[in-house]
Amino acid sequence: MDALIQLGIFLLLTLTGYVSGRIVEKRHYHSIREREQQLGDVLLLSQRLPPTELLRHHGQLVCGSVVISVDYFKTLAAGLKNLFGGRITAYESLLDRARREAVLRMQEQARTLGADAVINLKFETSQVSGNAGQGIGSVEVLAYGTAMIHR
Amino acid sequence: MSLPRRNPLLPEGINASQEHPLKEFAWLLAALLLLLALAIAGIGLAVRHLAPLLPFALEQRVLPANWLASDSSENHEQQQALQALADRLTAATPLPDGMRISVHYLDDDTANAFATLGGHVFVMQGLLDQLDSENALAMVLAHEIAHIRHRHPIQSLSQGIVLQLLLAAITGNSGAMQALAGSSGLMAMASFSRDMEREADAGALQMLQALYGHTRGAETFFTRLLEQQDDAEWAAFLQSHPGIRERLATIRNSQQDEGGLTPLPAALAPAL
Repeated sequence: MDALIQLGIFLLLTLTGYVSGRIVEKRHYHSIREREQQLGDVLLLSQRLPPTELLRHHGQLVCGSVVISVDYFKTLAAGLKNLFGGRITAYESLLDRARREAVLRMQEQARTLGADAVINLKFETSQVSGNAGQGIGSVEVLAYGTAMIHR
Repeated sequence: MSLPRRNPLLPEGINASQEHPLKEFAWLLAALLLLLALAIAGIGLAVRHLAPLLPFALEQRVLPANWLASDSSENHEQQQALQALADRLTAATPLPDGMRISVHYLDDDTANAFATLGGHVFVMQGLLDQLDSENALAMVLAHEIAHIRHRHPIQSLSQGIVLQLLLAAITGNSGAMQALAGSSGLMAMASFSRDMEREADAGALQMLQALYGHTRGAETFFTRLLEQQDDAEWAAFLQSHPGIRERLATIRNSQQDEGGLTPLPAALAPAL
């Protein structure tokens, strides 16, 4: 009986994680694609030195960061994958969303400063509040660069 | 080289898979469950074959014959009567070398008896209340002695421990390891599989035949059980001991003639 209750709770958590996780992810991706369209004119460049077109600009640090949580289902799927090996697609989509979201937030910050482009774009990823193995963790992505603002 | 006017819109599916997450999950889960089932079955089989190779002397070292030397003196008579009957049974059908049976009496209203490591058999008062002849009691004792003769306690306890270790190793749960290390498993009442119960029944009937020349009276316990099926106290026993009717049939089949039964020893006769 005890084992049955535990199994029931486990299944409930998994189902909740799966359903809500899928809904949230879908909506987030939708929002990401929309804003990538809107902010497409804030150029993203990874070079360290300003290109010749941007020599009349002054630089300003801009950054965007986001913390996204892993849902219960993703943790489970990743655990299974850890056993057998291979791409952990559950986490891959998580990081893809987080990275693109961070970049978008950075671009929003750049736009409020009136920037045309962001150069020297770099990323930092870290794990927040994740227990070793069993806990529900979350991932933080920071995107930062130099916004080029026309004098 | 001139700058682009806008950031290019990159295609999806490069850094993140477009495949449905449930598909992969279902495959992996199915594979894992299949592997687990095979491992459990395989390991169970291996342990059941290997565990009896552990010498009985090892069991006796863990739970020596004088383990419950603190048997209270007020139950001494019952203890002696039970031990005497057990000794008669093992005299009629000798045990393998070095094996000894120690019977203990428990003043508990539960109707149960069980065998554990080291040749220890426990009989509870509740069970004695249900028996009306020495033959019936002999059946119970012989059944437990047969479990020990066939090394069922070490088989089922070993199987349980090894499976727990396997699961703990897979899930990486160190708490389970610590719990096992604290030898709580050794004292546990072993629950035997149906095959083991059948084997013990067969062995018990043989022992009764050797001692009395017949197996009459052996079915008493089971008929009592079936009569009292609705009783809540019995529900737990019945759940853990499936196949009562089957066992009853086996016993009845072994009985060939009518006749009288031997009465219980005075120390064990129920207080009227």
